[in-house]
Amino acid sequence: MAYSEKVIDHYENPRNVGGFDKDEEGVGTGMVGAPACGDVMKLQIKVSEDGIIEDAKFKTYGCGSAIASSSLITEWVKGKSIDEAQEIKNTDIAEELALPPVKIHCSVLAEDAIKAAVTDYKEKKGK
Amino acid sequence: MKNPFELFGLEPNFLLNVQELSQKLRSMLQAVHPDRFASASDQEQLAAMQKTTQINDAYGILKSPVRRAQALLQLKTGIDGTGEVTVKEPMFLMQQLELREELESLANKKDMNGLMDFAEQVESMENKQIASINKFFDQNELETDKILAEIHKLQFLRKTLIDIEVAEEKILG
Repeated sequence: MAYSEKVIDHYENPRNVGGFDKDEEGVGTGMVGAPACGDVMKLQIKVSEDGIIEDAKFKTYGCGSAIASSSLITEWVKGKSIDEAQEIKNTDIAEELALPPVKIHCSVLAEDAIKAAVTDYKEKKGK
Repeated sequence: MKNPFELFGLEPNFLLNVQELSQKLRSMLQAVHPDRFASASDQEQLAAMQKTTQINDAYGILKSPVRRAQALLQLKTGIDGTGEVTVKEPMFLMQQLELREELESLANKKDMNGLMDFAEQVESMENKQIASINKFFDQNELETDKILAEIHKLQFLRKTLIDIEVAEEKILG
């Protein structure tokens, strides 16, 4: 299967690989996995006091499309409010990366990851 | 069409004897071998070919613990557990991420002995996971959500084991 140029670009030069201390204040961690292909994705956001995502990092073990989807979404969420970040749709990611139908789930995973990270952030903050 | 267990004349149980399974495979494949149908009609040859495919497909399901568990779940509850879903269990996934990180580091160091030890460790986790899936089927506790969650965990461990093999093969060249 041929990957699109954008997927290859993100795969070869992934943005924002890494992580934050999950116990640090303002950090939200989203952990998601896709059993069918065994992909595991960790996506973390660092949120300012006024609810803006200042930084985002990811670590993904999976195929090129999964890595590209998580790389892209970390770029997109930076500077967005947590509510705006939650509105990102997997279809936007799939379209941007020109993912073929069999790889759509990789973009779903990235969407689920950012949602999980925001949920984790809110839960931590609520405590 | 018969389900894979029926096709192989097995009770629909999760645990099975792998040796017995491969023996059965051999004798079943022999019975439909093209040599036996050299002088048979086109129709009979075609039927034998189709049967061969069915046997091989069923064997593929039965020999894989993941696919066997999915087939058994489907058989007993009608639930299809093969779809693409997202798992969100932080503790389990963090552990899986750590396993992949360890694998990555061993692979980068080309540490063959370390990889073999690591494979043993993950295999023992896989065996535990298989045992816990078996418990559900064995006691006929067909809580589908729980069984599905256990099968999902097995899928992640299996993926790590496949990646270990790939890493080992890369080192061996």
